[in-house]
Amino acid sequence: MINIAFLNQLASAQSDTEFTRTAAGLATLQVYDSIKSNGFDAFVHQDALERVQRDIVNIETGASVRPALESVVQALPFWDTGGYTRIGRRAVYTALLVYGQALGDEGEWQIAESVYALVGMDAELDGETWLAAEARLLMGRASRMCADWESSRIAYRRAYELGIEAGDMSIALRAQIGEANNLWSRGDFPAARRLLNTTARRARQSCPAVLPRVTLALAGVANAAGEHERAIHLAFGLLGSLTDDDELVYQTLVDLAAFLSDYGLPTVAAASLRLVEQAAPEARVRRHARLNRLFLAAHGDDELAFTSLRVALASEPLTPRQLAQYSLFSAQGFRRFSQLDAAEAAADRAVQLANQFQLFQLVFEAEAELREIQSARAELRAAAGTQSVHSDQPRARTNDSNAHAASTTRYRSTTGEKLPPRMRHVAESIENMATQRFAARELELSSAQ
Amino acid sequence: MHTALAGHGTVDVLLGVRELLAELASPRDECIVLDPALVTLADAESIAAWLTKYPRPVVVFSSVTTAALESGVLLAQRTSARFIFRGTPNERSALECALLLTPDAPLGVALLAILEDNMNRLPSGIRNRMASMFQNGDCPSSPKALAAASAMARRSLDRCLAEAGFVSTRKVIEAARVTSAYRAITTSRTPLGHIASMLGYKSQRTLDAQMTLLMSTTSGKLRTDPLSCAEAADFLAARLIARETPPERKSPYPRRAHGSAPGSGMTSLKLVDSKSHIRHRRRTASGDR
Repeated sequence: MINIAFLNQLASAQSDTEFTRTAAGLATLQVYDSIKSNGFDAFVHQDALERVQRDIVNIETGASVRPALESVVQALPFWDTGGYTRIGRRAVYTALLVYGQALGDEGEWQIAESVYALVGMDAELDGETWLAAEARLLMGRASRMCADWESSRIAYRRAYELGIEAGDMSIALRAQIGEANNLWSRGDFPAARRLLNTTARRARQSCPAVLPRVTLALAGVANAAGEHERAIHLAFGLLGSLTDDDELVYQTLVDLAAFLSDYGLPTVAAASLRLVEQAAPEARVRRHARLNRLFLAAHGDDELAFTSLRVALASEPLTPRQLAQYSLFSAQGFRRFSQLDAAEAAADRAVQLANQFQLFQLVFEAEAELREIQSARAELRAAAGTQSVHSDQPRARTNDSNAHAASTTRYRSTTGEKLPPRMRHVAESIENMATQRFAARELELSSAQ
Repeated sequence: MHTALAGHGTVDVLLGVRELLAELASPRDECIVLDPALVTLADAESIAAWLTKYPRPVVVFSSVTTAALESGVLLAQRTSARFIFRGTPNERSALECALLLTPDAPLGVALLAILEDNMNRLPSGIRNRMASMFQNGDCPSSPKALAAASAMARRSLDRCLAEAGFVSTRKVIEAARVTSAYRAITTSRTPLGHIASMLGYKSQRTLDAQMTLLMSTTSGKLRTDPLSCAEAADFLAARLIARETPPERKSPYPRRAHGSAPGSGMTSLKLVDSKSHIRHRRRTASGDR
């Protein structure tokens, strides 16, 4: 089996740890391919599995890929067993799906996508419709993370069909939510909203468990369309109703922080994100929270936090969207802290990345940022020219303060105090509610620990 | 488990194998959920032996580890347990489906007893697959999926079933679905629309259409006026194998059909018959081409 995604990952591995992890995954998939084609033969495969197991031991402990790969290796000898329900195959497919999710946690979405594609195809050919639907649903997300929009759309459509066929409305409706997320990520808000409203109606009738996810997606669309108050109220309502779904609680907290900061309440947003960073079990969720804190630091006055978060995120495996966002936020922060050369370089990189991955909304934002930097530079030059005629003050210091002024005046207000009077009252009530709820949750967390 | 049940049932915890075996011998008929990672091979063997003696719906909810799979394989080979592995994002909905749509063991036994002659004419692989479908309700969702799960071509599967006297592959799958829903419809308060969607039907109306074809009743009528297992098995078997008129249901309530006088239930029955007969002939014709 030649798996291009794995080979690319091996070729671009930045460290021994990453190389070992990817190589062990590729070796496991090769053994899987052999067992699938010829059946399990202890004489042939036992030795290969033992060698893979030795490779897995070299993967750093704590990485979620390690237990996932161990699970695949443990399931493979059972491939042909399990009677007429063929539980051996089901176990292998499930273990591979868990491996794909672990890869996603590490940010290795391209190889996760190829693992999901493999499982989706094999499970469907084996008549395991439910597992095939799960694989396609996960593949839709992985493709979206790789900015492979067409593959994502096709995977979600297939997940929907297979979910309906398997009698699992949860998969079918989640596939529709994924498709709506694709739509609004690319700027088509009306279509996304229509699809989500239809999905919500169907969820109410046949699968109420999916309704919170639809609500969160609707809040995302509302926020992206500039209806921040609606987005915040939807997210708070949801947070109050969630009791048993930890994954969705953290996802909601991250999204809520984004809505709050967009609305102009960065302090409350940071509280929400700190909560996620402290307690979220998944690395990718914590990473997302950190990226959002970088945004807040870039838009606030905390240069120290901005620098430390930038350094921390530089070594993290980020998705294409996150990479583009990282460059954009860096550009915004550098401009705010008067480092215009670094800001321009970062904004250029953001435009290039956003164009490369067809993230059109981010292209607009990065281009706007670039224009802001250029006009700040022009104002600075003009101010410097005036001062060289009228003043004997040291130039560097003046440059800095002018650049800072130019950059700050162009920013949207980032605190509740700067909001118009009509909105200030609403913002205050939201801030009070948020502070109370976050304090209560932090108390819960500390007592649980 | 509590979340998956969502108020449609209660959970009792059994702390040891001895308690589990005692529970199996009790006259109760509740579904048992088992984690094979927590039982040894010897324990799994005794559980399998007791399950053969006292049939009971069993759901095996397990992680993928060597220990769990060793016990799991034994249970899969010797019982009609339904398996769900942990680790997928929608495992909760799969568990919900397995817990709420537990098959009715006496109905499965009665149906397989009636179909015994036909089943014996099938190759062993398909026979065993079908038997497990009717016993544990874990059935492939389409004829294509059943063919893939039985490791044979779709046309070969159709031919085998036709030679054994079954009307069609699709009807076998529909019958397995309805069998798995029988207990939930007759003994639980789970909304019928929810049962329909868990079975993969678009709405309750679609489920009712299938139930009318297979059991000459709707899900609502079955809930208010349940058929006995033997009656239900007779109806299903008649629809699965015979092409003549199925047994008439003895209902205390008169049936009303379109364009017929109240009480003349036979009109609608004949209409359904002729429709299914025409559909079957059409499918055969296209298959011959």
